[in-house]
Amino acid sequence: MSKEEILKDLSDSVINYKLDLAKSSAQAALDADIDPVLAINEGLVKGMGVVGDNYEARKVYLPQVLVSANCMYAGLDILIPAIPVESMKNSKKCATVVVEGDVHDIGKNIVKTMLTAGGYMVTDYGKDIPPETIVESAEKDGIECICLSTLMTPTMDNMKKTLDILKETGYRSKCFVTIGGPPTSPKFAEEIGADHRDTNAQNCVRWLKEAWE
Amino acid sequence: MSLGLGLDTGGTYTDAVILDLKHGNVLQKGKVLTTRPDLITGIGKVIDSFDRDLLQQVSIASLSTTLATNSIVEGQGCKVGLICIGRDFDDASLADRYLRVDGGHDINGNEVVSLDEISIRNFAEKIKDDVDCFAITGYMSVRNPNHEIAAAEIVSKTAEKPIVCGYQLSSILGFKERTVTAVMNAKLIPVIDNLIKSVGKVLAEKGLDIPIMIVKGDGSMMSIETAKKRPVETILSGPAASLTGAREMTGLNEAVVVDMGGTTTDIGVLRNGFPSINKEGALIGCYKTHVMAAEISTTGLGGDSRVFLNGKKMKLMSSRAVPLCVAATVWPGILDDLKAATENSEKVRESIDDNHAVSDIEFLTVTGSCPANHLSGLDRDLLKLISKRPYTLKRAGELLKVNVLEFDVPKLEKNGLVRRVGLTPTDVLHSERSYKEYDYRASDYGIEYFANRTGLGKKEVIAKIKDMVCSKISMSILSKVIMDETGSTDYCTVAEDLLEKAVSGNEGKDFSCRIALNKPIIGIGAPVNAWLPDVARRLHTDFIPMKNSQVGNAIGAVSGCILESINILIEPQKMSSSSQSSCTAYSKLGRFAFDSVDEGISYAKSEGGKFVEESVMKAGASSVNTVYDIKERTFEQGNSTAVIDIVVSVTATGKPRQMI
Repeated sequence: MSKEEILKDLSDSVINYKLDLAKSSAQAALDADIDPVLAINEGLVKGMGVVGDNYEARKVYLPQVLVSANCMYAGLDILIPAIPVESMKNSKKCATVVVEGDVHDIGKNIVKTMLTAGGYMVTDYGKDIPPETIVESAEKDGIECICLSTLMTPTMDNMKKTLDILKETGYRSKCFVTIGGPPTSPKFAEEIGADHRDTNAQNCVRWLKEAWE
Repeated sequence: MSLGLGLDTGGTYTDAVILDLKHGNVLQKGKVLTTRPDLITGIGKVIDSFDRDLLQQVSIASLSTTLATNSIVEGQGCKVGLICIGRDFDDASLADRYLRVDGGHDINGNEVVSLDEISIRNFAEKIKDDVDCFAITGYMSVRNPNHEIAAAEIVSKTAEKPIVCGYQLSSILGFKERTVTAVMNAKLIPVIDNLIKSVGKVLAEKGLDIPIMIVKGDGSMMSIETAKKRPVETILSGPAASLTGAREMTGLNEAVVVDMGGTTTDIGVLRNGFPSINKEGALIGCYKTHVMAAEISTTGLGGDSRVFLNGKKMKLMSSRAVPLCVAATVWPGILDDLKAATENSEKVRESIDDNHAVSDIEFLTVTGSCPANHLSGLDRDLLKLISKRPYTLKRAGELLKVNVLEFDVPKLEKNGLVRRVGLTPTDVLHSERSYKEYDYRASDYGIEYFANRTGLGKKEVIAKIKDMVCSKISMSILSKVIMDETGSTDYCTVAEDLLEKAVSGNEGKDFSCRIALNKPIIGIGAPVNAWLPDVARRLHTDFIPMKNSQVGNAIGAVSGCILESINILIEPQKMSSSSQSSCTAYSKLGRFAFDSVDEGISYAKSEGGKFVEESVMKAGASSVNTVYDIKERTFEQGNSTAVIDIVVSVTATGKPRQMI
């Protein structure tokens, strides 16, 4: 198979929800000595970009995005370990997390997928995570953008607490903080001192790209 | 008639006034060079120049000083033992001895780890003879100061040294800035203590047994007892006093105050009679602190700014030059050189780098600093040559028989070894005869040289330079007020274009732009009458010159009032629209829980009020005026408004009884 065909397979596997194809074409890329970063960006991520656009245009639904993301991750699991450490150095580091008290992580997972598709190194801290743990982990991992998510109103407090702790530790000056989730609003983000709030994962990635320029 | 003695020891001058406190009349004024390291010599000298009888009627003295700022910048101050509770401090080298111990609280003020009291005791015991003062800061101590308080108690039992706690100096989040503030405060304790003692001694020698007040960076006064505990708050007291002085002399409570000096122009804003404060905390040296001081923006523009000609382009630089008119008074010989330069029609090439451009009317002179070892032989020769009298670089090259490009002037300048002599805004004023202190002939030659080289008339050159100066001051004023309003000076292309049009008055293709200040401009400094009326016209407001502005700081020093404030944060247990939700109040008074937000607010008002009123009365006020400010942070939640948190600020002010 040619390089172009392998890249197309990678991309199609994500667009067409083919988990097995994602795995096999990722392996094929490695066997054919294709640069894993290229395989990710020109294959999996390109496909995920198409899915993201379709979702934004309401051509596909959330479950379909999640299945696509699953395919992308299956491919990434094979390709990422093959990336030389050197070439990962320049990628910005992001963390996605659902704040303490909340376990709804679909939104966070979409953001994680889109950030990965955007070329960032994403660490997922998971769900129901206390503010102190988020800040400690971010500081330890050298995270440059923290993405906080919550679906519920009572847990919005913990977004504010996370930002307050970031201020006390001084790490706030070293990272962006963006928030999301139905109860949040741009005004809420501004009041608690976050940089950004979005309803749409694609837009959030666009904002971050601009912010880092 | 009650009289006050106002004193200001600045970087260059020490000013003093005797002010009739009731009518605001300046009865005596004096200005001498600041004496360092012993400030008191200058203070004594300036007081000596005053009428003895009037001096005997003075009932209060107040002092503003840059001593704290200078001490920190120059790395002076006492030895500090720092104890950090629950978190490491990145700049531990600021302190002389350092210990990090277990302890600290979480964001809700709950204890996370118990305080390691044994380590604190051992540390205090071990270092007590090596340090002069202790500083203690805890992680999240603004949410619960208990560990800092406990640690201070342990240290006080072990060592008889002053102890500074972070929670007393700061009420906002930011462990690092709080710690920097506490360490600087500790370092300054003996520095300010000495100054206060010396001032007391000088006044006693003149037979004056009167209370002394110290000016804070927000323009208010504090008693010497408070100043000895919180000396870091005297930071930026000079500029703050100048704002207070401007208010006193003009009677205006709302104004943009522009203080033009030789090298820089300082811009501050008076709102409601008080200097506007930097809420984020003042920058001292290169350190961010939590000291609430007047927000002053400084622009590198003054009477001595270098006006430079590169090819045919005139430029106003931020760097400094000795004005030609001043230089010609000191070295009359340069007049001939200047005359020759105006007669020389030889072409001068434009240089890519302004720093390397050579001008026939720019001379170099020495500053008097000792040359370092790493200079080239050539640069040493140059220094030796210009130590006798200033030479242009070209002439120096001819005399030393080398190409001028072989000298490293930018380096010599950077190391403070040479100073440029050249055309400056002061020369422009001399050339148009609106200012006549020095030798205007030199200024005339400078302007003529510019006219010859640019092909403009002399009047046009003067107008062009005046335009550059006024544009720059106007732009600096707009940047300052825009920064205060938006917190940013990150201008986009459109904003830049609009600002440029507003400042220059230039028309666009289809529109013009006006930005009007909603308060007048008060000018401080000798040359303001020459520049600021034009600036005020550009910004569509009035210009008000300040009387006695040369001693404005000293006037301001004795015109303030005693001020104490406290911020109490009230955080509902859950963000909601109900005022019945339980809440916690955090402040330096401690952490308290309440059943409802309303209860929390009324606690903050009563206890906060009591705290600040007592402090102000204790500092010697005759009566107290208390103001409450309640700021709610909210967001829309469904159809209602939910409260994120509330900050209750209580501020008490009062005039010292001797000032009434």
